[in-house]
Amino acid sequence: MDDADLNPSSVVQLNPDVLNIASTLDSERTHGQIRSPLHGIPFLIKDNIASKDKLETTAGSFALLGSIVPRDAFVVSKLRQAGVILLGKATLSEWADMRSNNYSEGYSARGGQARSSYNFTVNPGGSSTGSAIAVANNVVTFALGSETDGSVINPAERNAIVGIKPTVGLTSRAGVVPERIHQDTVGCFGRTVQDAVYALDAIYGVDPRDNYTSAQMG
Amino acid sequence: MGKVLQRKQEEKRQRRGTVSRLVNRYLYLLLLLSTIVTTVLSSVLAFLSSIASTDLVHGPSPQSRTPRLRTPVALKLNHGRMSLVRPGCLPPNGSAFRTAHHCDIQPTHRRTSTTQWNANASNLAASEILLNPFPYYFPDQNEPANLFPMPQCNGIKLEEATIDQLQEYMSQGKLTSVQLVMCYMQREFQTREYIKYVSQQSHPLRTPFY
Repeated sequence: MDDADLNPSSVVQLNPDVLNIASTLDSERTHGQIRSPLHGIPFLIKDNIASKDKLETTAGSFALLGSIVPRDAFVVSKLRQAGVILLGKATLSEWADMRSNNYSEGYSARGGQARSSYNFTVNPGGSSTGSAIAVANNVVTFALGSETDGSVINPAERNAIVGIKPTVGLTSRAGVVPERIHQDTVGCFGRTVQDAVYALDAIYGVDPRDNYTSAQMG
Repeated sequence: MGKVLQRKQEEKRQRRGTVSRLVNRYLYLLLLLSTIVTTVLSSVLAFLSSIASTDLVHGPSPQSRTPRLRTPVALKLNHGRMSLVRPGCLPPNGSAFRTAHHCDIQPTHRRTSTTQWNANASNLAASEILLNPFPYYFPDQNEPANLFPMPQCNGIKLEEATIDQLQEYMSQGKLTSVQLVMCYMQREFQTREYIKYVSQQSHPLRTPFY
């Protein structure tokens, strides 16, 4: 498990920040500063959502390995401001299902084949497969995914959790590997509606880098 | 003077020659004799011991029927088992291992032969399962509904915990974010090879916490 380990079934790259972030947030809490209802909670994001840290943003493909993103995606920076701990990147169907019209859901070259924890042999849903499975399997309490056409609600349904696909324009797509400007959204997963709504509350908002979000101002 | 010296040297040489010749001649006899003696002695001893054992086995006294001489191997095996796994520590069906401090595996300093290990294979397998400090851990096929039981985190049940519950634990000081991150990462390590949802993880191995 080191930088050179590119085996799709294991950790690809090390990022030493997660416990430092957690301890910082712990000390904030001991000093009475609680940023949001999500303060100090670990979460995962789909691998097509940019994060400006030591994690790669590749949409599951080796083609983007080593690419350098200019900044955190809007939703990620909002969550960081809310005091949430980015635990890592979740697997997905490669290129958020743009890889092919007919292939195994939940597969990506970097992430390997993600599997439903209810049944290893069935379609786990996608393309936000890893996010949904992680929430269903108690690895995190909530996770972010993205949806163009069913990529949040399909894995949520197949893994028996709550998935919210917001109206286009409610969550900014800035920093997310794009698919279709009229349909893309960033959605969220939780084991309860309350958890998923906490996440949605933290990520929605007007972003000057995505003019579809200006519709929120009315 | 020269002649006297020469003669003395010749005598010396002759003496050496006779000694070596004597040794060469009688060494063979000596070896032969010792072989004969050992063979005879061992056969006599074997005969005597066979008489003794038959007496113990077929003798009228019940005390002489103790298994001491009849089953020395079994006795050793039994002894070995007792020293490896304490009584009551073997799981009933060989699958559901639980942590128990009294089941610590005791170090054994006795060397036992291969045949004895083979005969004792089942106990040996049990003795190689480490229960302390970490319990044996593998998906339990006998509990298909709970193949990956989630361990508690600092005494708190994380399974199905909601964000509100976690916030409550953390505000009460029962849990820190660092502990939470560690427990969730352990959960990921536990299930990684089965469902593969994390393609990349913020890895802690280079932080001062380790």
